[in-house]
Amino acid sequence: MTDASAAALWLGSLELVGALVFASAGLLDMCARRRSAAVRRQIWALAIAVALVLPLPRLALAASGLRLPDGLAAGLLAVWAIGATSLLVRLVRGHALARRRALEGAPMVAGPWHETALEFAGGPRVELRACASARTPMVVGIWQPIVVVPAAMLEAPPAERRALLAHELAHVARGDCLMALAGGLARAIYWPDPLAWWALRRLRAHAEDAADDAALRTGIPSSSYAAQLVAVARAQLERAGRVAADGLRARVRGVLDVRRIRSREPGELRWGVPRLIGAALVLATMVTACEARSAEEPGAGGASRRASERRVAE
Amino acid sequence: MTRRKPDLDPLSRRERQIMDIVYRRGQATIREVLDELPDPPTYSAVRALVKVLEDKGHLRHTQDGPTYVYAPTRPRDRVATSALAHVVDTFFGGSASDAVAALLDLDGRELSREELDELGAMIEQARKEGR
Repeated sequence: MTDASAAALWLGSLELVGALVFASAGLLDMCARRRSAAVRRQIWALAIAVALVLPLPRLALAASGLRLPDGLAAGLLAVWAIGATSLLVRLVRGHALARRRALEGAPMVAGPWHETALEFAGGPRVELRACASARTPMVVGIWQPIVVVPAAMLEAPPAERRALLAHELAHVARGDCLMALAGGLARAIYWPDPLAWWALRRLRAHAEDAADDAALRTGIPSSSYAAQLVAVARAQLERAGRVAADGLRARVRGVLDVRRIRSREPGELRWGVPRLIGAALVLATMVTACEARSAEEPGAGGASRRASERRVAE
Repeated sequence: MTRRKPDLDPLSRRERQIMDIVYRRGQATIREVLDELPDPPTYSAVRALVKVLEDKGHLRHTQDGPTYVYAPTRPRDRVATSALAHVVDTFFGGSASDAVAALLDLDGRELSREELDELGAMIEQARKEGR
């Protein structure tokens, strides 16, 4: 078998198993619909981590007995590589651009925002920057996170300021920037699979909901916080003439829903990155072992059948 | 979108089999149902199940001499909608728009001014309720 054919088949089976992982996460997420957003976010974080480490144990799998025509195999590999590369470039460029814009903002080392940030004792250490070009508060950076505050929000009342900071600090505490990067990487690898795109969107949606829960824990009335979310979207619509839905409707409904189970403090719930990778490796190895076993069984059955046929003939 | 509750109680597997038979035939007696049921239970068990379906409002009976003849109370398309409503209610809290959004995750579009106004009204209502 040629290298191109083997590589295309290996990649194809990886995409299929990846789809299975994302579909399982979707099913689990549906079953966990009455759980907090933080729990549901963890389901997708684990699925994405499994998808990312999945290629490692699969390197040990025996090559498939199938064979693709060389031209077809090379063509499939080229299409996949073009898609994956363009998504990776977009991912890296997006992160770099966001970081550059954040660094252009003015550091806030004093004043009400700085003082409010200090009130979150035991919270993650972050840098605060005021940025004129930012339209919404956001966190940028993985190892040295920066909370970007739009200049237009600098005069926000204390309750809103505290809620906004609680939201962004919850993203930092849960490592949402790292997970968004991991999700983007998984999407680049599994891009032919629509479930990979869906996985990233579900991860982001649940991460936002979990951070909203953290904001509500500051005691701000849910209607005030929801109004804040809508005000940011309205300002964006006025300024740019368009605003992406980005799940705003679902977020507002979630914030106003009194029956919704709220996420706990990020510190209590968070899985450390090493634990997440460890769990993902174990699961990926188990999935690969099951696959290897199911691939062996027909051969083993055939071998024993042939042996018994030989015995009958003798 | 408003919450939509199924009009009738949901059906068990056996009850659904009986309804399928009655729909297919248009109307049926207990004996006819029993003849067509896969892995049929006793006559009494089928009669009890048909009675349950009647109590739930899925079937009604007319008398043909000494025999009861059962017919569905509603056309099949309405029942199918109701069954879908049950799925929507079970998994998505009754909101079909949530169901579609959750399954297809279509919320990547743009928001209109009217939709923002609608959200504003929802928030105002919540504020009045003290939330």
